[in-house]
Formats: sequence, structure tokens, C-alpha cells
Amino acid sequence: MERRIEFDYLRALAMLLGVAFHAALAYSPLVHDLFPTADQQQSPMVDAVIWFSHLFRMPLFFLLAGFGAARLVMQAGAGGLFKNRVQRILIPFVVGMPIINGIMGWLTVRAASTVDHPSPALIWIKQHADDGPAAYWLMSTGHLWFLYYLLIFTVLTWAFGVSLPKSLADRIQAAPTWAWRWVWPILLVPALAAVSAPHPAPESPLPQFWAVTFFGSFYAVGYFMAARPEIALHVPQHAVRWGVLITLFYLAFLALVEGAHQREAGWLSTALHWLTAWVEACLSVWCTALAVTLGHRFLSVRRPLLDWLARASYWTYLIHLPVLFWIQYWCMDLSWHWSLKLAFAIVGTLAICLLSESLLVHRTVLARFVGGRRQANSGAAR
Amino acid sequence: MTTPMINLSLIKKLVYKDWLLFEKQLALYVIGAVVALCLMGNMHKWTFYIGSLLLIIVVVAVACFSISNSLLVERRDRTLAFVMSLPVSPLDFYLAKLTGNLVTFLLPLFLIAGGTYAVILLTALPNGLVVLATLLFTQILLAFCVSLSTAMAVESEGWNTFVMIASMVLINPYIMMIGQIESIAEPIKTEQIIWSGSALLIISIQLILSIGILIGTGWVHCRKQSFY
Repeated sequence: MERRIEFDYLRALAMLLGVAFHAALAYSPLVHDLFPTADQQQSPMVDAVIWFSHLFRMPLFFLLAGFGAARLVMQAGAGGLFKNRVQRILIPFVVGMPIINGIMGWLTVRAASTVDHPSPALIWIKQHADDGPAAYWLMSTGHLWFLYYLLIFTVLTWAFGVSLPKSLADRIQAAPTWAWRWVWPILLVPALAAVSAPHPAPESPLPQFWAVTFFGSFYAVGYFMAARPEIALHVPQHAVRWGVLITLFYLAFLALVEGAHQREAGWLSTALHWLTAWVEACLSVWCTALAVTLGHRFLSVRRPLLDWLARASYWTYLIHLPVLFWIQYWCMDLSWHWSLKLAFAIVGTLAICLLSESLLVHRTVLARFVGGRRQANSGAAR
Repeated sequence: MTTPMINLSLIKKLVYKDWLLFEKQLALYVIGAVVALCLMGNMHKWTFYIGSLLLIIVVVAVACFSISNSLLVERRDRTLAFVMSLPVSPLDFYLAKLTGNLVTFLLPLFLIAGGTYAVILLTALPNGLVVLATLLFTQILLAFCVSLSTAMAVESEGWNTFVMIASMVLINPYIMMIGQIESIAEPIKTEQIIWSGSALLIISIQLILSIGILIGTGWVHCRKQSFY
């Protein structure tokens, strides 16, 4: 089966975009009261940029994961899929989560007592230090929540693969393209309406209904896409029109999110909340489809730099948050402009992560679990 | 005296056959269990109640369907006659059924138990509920072992249905009974996980009985020269 390198590159870019996203959260006015590394300086420009990427980054990742799962099932059956997922997801998750969360908990508690200009979250942690704030990190899946959900979706891939009648699967797969563009977002509205906008990360150790439905639908579409690529590759003919529509919807989304804080509870507030969920769902679906289309058009040719980033992206994403927190806690007391701090945090985090991948993962036994994908058509590499 | 040889490759094939017959239903139960866990994790009282109820239904249904599919339906469809024509001894047959049923039942049971413990320990629910959950799961295990042994030893479909329903329905009065034992009922409302003497005694009896029933059924099958 021909390897789709554009999807490898897209997945790598989505993961690296995650590093920038988490770094930028420190300067976001929207999460200033909640994020531990929140800086004294904030900029509305940060919100305008990062929440746009947030709408499609993880949906795109799950869509590609579903695509990869379908190809693995085609090649090696459900057994092959399970074997691959145990090696590439379960083991890194079980081993990595306590280590990474432990380090982050320790860094955060330490920062709460050493930083001169702490964030509201750090102040809260300092006040509640005796309640064991580090325990929060140990009870949360943290930024590795996506691995947890991939494991759930792997089990569900088998369960639905066995129990879903083939005729129904064929009918879903054969749905017209307009249905994927317009009906699919409507189906996602209840899931997104169940949480605040922009949707949070489902870090709880218990599966969340909205996250299973929302991200699971992208995973399912990716799975179907393996047999029918045009499901997500139908934007190019009207790229400009879609670009304008997405821009307008995003402006509306920002206005709705901004206005949500001032609204009083009532029927109007509820109606606007559901409208926000619909706009968010549309943006997630359209932007993900657009990203796949652009990837298909511009990333189908092998490039050494992207090969390298694709190789290191999984490891980078796994370890980036403790590294980033370490750098950002250190930056909190500096008087630099926020944009300089942001650039420094991103470059520093990527440098440490990419260097450690070269030294610790590439060409070592760790590569089997968290290393890059092998070239050619290796099943274990998907 | 000759020692009966166990035909491992045939046992594997028989287990695989049962797995294929049960796979579709098991898949639906797994979906049900995921839905139940999602409901439990939703942090509302009513969703937690529905989720935990659905979880118990899934576990009980897995137990009943597993036994029914691999033993009772086999007899009714006369597949057993074909199995008997294979080079397989009663002990091989017993081991195949035991392994197949334990895999199809214990695997979901452990997953569901793990999920339940996660819900209790990682949410606002009192941690003392861990003891109650364990008492519930060991009772379900005992009910499963009783039903499985009956299905292997008794041909009558009526008796099997009766034992299956009775053993599972008895879970209800069992919960009420342990609710009357003060040393169990009081600590489950607190954050402390207290394994009282009564709780440990009940769990020990349930586990010993479960294993004893399976060994007893195996011993009977080991002595058999023919299937019936």
C-alpha cells in the first residue's frame, strides 16, 4: 500500500503547532486566570491566532489517526492494529504519563514558591499547597489525553468493525460530499454545546462524552477516508469561497466567545451558546478538510526537513510541556516583551526536544515506541 | 494406568470458534461499557446512577451470553455432536470451554472493574466505595462460575436458565445484605478504604467458592470416559 507522506508531514506539523499553541497560552487573555505559566503581559492578538489553530489541530490529528488505523486494519487486521497501538500508544502513555505529570507537578509547585510575578493559577496553587496540588497532575492525563482517547478509539474501531452492518458502513461512506460539509457539523453541536467554547482539553482520566463524540467523529471520518479520500479532499475547487466563509465564521466565533462573559443567564444566552457550538463545529470540520486538502496539494513531495520533523514530532510532543513550563516559569520574572518571550520559549523547547530525540531516541530501542515512522511500507510504522 | 493427554491445538481451535461466535456480541457490550463509563464520568448524580446501572447490566449480560453462546446454543444447534466427533476428550472439551468463557468474561470484567475503581478514586465519590465495588464484582464472579459449572454439568436448558437468572438476580438481595453489615456499610460513605473483617471474609468465601466450583467441575470431567 502506497505510503501517504503528506499525512505524515501533516501530523508532524499539527504536533509541532501544539508546541506553539501551549507556549502562546501563557500570553492569552482568555485563559490568563487558569493557565499556570500565564505571564503578566497578555495580547488579544494571541487569542485571535491560537484559538483558530485550536479549532482544527486536534481534529486533524484524530482524522489522520483514523486514516492510519484503517490502513493498518486493511494490511494486518484488527490484531495488527492492536499490536501497533500497544507498542506505540499504550506503552508510551502508561510509562510517560506519570513521569511527565510528576515533573510538571514538581516544576509548578516549585514555581509557585519561587516566581516573583506568579500567575493567578500559581497563586492559587501556593495558597493550597497543603492540599497537594501536585496530586492534580498525577490524576490528570495532562497533554497526553490524546493518547488515552486513541486507545479508546482503537477498542471502538474493533467493536464497530465487528458489529456495524457493512451495508450501514457503506451508506455512511457513500454519503454525498455536501453532507460531510453541512450535516456533520450539525451532528457535532450537542457535543460542543456540552462544554465551554473554545472546547477544553478532556484531561480527566474518565472518558468524556463530548470528547468521545467530537474527536471520535473525526477519527471515524479518517477511517472512512482511507477508502474514499474525497470525503475530506473536496475543498480545492472552491478554495477562495471556503476561505472567505471560514474567515467570516471565525470572526463571528470570536465575537460570540467574547460576548459570552457578559451575557446573563436566560434563553438568549442558551441560544447563543448553541449557536457558538454550531459555528465552532463548522469551523472544525471545514478547517480540517482544508488542512487535508492543502497537505495533499503541497506536502506530497518528500522533503528532508519535513522527514526529520516527522521523525521527531511524536517524541517532541510527548516531552514538550515540562520543557516548555520550565522555560516559561523562568521567563515569568523577565521584563522582555511578550513576543520575545514567546519566541524564546518555542525555540528553546523545540531545540531541547529535537536534540534529545537525536541523542536518546533515534537509533535506540526507544525509537520502536516513540520514534519516527519507518520509511517505505512498514505496518508497524503507521 | 495412562495419563490423559491434553490436545492443546484442538483446545485453541475450540476457544477460537467460541470467540468468533461471541465476538459480535462482545463488541456491542464493549460499546455499552464505554457509554456507561462516559455517563459515570459526567459528574451528575443521575448520569452516574444510569452509568453504574448500565455497567452492571453489561457485566451480567456478558456472563450470561458467554455461557449461553458457547454451551447451551451449541447443544441446541447440535454442534456438540460434531465436536464430539473430533479427537477431543471430555477434559479437553472442559478446558476449552473454561478458557473461552473465562477469557470472554474476565477480560471485560477486569476492564470494567478498572474503570469503576478509576471513577471512584478520581472523582468526588467517597473512596470507601472501592470495598463495595469489590464485593459486587466478586459476587458477579461467583454467579458466573456457578452458571458456567451448571451449564457444563447439566444438560437441561430450563435448569441452566433458572440458575443463570437466579444467581444474577441474587445480586440485589446480596447488596441489601451487605448494606446491613455495619462494618461494611459505614466506611463506604467515607474517604477511607477500610477492609473490615466481614468484607474480607465475604470476599475470601466468594473467591474460594468460585475456584472450588470450577475445580470440582473439572474433576468430574477428568473422570469421565465419555461426554455424557
